[in-house]
Amino acid sequence: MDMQDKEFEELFRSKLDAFETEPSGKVWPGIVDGLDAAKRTRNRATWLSIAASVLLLAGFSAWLISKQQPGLIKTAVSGGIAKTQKPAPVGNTFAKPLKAQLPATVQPAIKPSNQVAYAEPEKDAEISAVKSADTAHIQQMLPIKRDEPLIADMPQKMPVSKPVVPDQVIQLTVKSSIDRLPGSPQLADNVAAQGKANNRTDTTTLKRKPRIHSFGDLVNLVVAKLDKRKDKLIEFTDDGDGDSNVTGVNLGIVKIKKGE
Amino acid sequence: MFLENKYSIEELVKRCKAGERKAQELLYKQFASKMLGVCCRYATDRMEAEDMLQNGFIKVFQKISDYRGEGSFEGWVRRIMVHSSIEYYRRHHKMMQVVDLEAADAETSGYPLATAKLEAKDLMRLIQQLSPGYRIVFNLYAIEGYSHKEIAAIVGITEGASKSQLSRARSILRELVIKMEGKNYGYAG
Repeated sequence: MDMQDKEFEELFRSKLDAFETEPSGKVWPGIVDGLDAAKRTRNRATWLSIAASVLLLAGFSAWLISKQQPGLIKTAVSGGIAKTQKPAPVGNTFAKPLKAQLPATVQPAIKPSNQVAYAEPEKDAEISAVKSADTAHIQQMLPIKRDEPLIADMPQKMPVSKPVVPDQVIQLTVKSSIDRLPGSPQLADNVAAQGKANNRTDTTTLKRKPRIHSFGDLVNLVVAKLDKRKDKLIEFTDDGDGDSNVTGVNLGIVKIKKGE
Repeated sequence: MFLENKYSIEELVKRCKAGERKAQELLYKQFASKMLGVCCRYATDRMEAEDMLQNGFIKVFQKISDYRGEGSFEGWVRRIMVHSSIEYYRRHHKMMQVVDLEAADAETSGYPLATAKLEAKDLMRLIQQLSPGYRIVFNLYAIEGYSHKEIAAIVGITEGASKSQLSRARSILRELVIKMEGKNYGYAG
């Protein structure tokens, strides 16, 4: 008489389980659209994540470089930083060894009080030149560096007086001066080194024949195609062992370059 | 028509995994009618059923690399279709999450049910009159054959809620059947 639940359900199941009915013509096109839309979203997401990864890499490299060499980072809101940065290292490399070359006795000539006694007569011209210690003057003084007695005297006179520049700098540059005798080749070296650094940059941007030896070369090649500025978003250089190191990052506001 | 017989289901699936649009279309044509039948049981009307069918097949083609030949392909598609239909409801309707504590009246109405006379389309119409929550549970239990535990996991309700919703669905359906048969036989009420 009464149908049990099970039978009731079985009724529905038997009749509805095999139920078929043909869909209208707009279902398949709808499926195609849905699949294409999903693929587009996937591609965009992929591209965005690649772009985001590159930016992260650049930012992290910038941070890394800043950790290694704090003095290298120069920040500026306006864009005119590139010009000021390049000459500065040049000027510095000239200035430091210069100041050390003129022995410590001469340097404190800027404070004339008790050091004049140590100054030798021949060096009066140099003392006055040292007084005005900006880049232009220092460059004028370059010929003086060929004066060998200057260098020879240095070890003796070194500890005598208080240097104007910080001790660390003196130590560094004194060392570099001692390493290179005579003076002019040192300058030449600096110029050459700077030039080489520049050339390396230039060849990176200008070279037409790409040679990929390392990961860094590969990145440089890709970035060169995308970034048409002189200083690329990120720049690698091979060291002697064939490893790639980041030598430059340019994020617009922050520019870092290893170019000694 | 001839084209469908050229490829086996296995072959079509392999081509779909490679992303062949033509293979996708053939696979769709192979199963569309059957799957629309499934979706009709979950939908309120035909239009909704076709939406569910569309979404279901998009999922099928997106997930086809997951199918590794375990179990029948039709069964795999059907499962996706069911899940996709329930998902459709989650997005478009408020699911009935309330646990019906009222014990369903297990007593029968006392009327004989000449159920054999009712055809599939009649029953379909009856099911579509249920509110979504009851409808889904009834479908999953009575037709798909899931247990209350499984239903609870799929729908996101408790086992108890699944049981009570099934009871309510049965009661309502019985009344609807009677009404329908009454119309058929000219009974009043």
